[in-house]
Amino acid sequence: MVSSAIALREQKAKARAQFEAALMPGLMAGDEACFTQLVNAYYGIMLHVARGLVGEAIADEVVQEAWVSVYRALPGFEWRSSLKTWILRITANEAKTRLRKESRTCSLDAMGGVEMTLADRFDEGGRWSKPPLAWHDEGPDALLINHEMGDCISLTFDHLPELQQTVFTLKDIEGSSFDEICNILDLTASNARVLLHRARTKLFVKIESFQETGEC
Amino acid sequence: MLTCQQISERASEYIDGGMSLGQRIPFRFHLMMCQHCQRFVKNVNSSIVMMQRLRRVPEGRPEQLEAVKKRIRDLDKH
Repeated sequence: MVSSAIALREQKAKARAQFEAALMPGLMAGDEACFTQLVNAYYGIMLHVARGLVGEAIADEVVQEAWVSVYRALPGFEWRSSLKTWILRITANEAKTRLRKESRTCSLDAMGGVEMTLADRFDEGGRWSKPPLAWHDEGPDALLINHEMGDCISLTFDHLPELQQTVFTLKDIEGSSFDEICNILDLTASNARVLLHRARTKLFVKIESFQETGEC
Repeated sequence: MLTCQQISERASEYIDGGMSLGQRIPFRFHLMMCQHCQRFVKNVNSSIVMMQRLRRVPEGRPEQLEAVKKRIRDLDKH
């Protein structure tokens, strides 16, 4: 069971490597169609990274600026990382440049707040005082037959702090490794792990509560 | 022995395979003894799978792609 989430991530990482290897000769030759495919494939995840660092309002401008930098630097790309990690790193750098220009800083405020979601479920000895409920025997897919459950999870995710959403998206949806995430977002491994765990815990708490009460 | 609270705090690390052998053994030992924690780890993993089923990162929208193309064309002109 534990391996199922990892298996999905690994499939994505493999598909990404194949996509990039197939695209690279065309990109190096300046093929516009290949560049368009690249923009199409990575615009969305770049937007996630930019949002995590600068917020929703100017994320799109940051991504546009990042593509100009990617286009300029592409001939010098050396495969020291995946193309995607390299592009996302450029996006994060653009975001940080933008923050500096506006005299703002990227704070880790997103680290705080969520941890308390489980704290009241243990007694003083660290044992469960309110243990986890049994979920549907048939697994996650059976739970998602209830569309309201799916809507509730999506809503909960959208309300997580932006940086938690970004780390979760990179790790669990896109299949990036912790090394890649730390490289892209300039986070320490322990901060990245904390952000990810808090996002997951918050989702767990909401899914459980929805099963118990039927309300989001 | 690890407490249930400690297990809950380290569940993600366990799910991601990020533990050393020395960390994994006491973690698994606790799981063998504790049905609540087994359930917690299983349900956190299910939460991840549910999000994976629900979400995929969207591709760029046509107007966003067009805006990038325009920026690149302008760049090539100069």
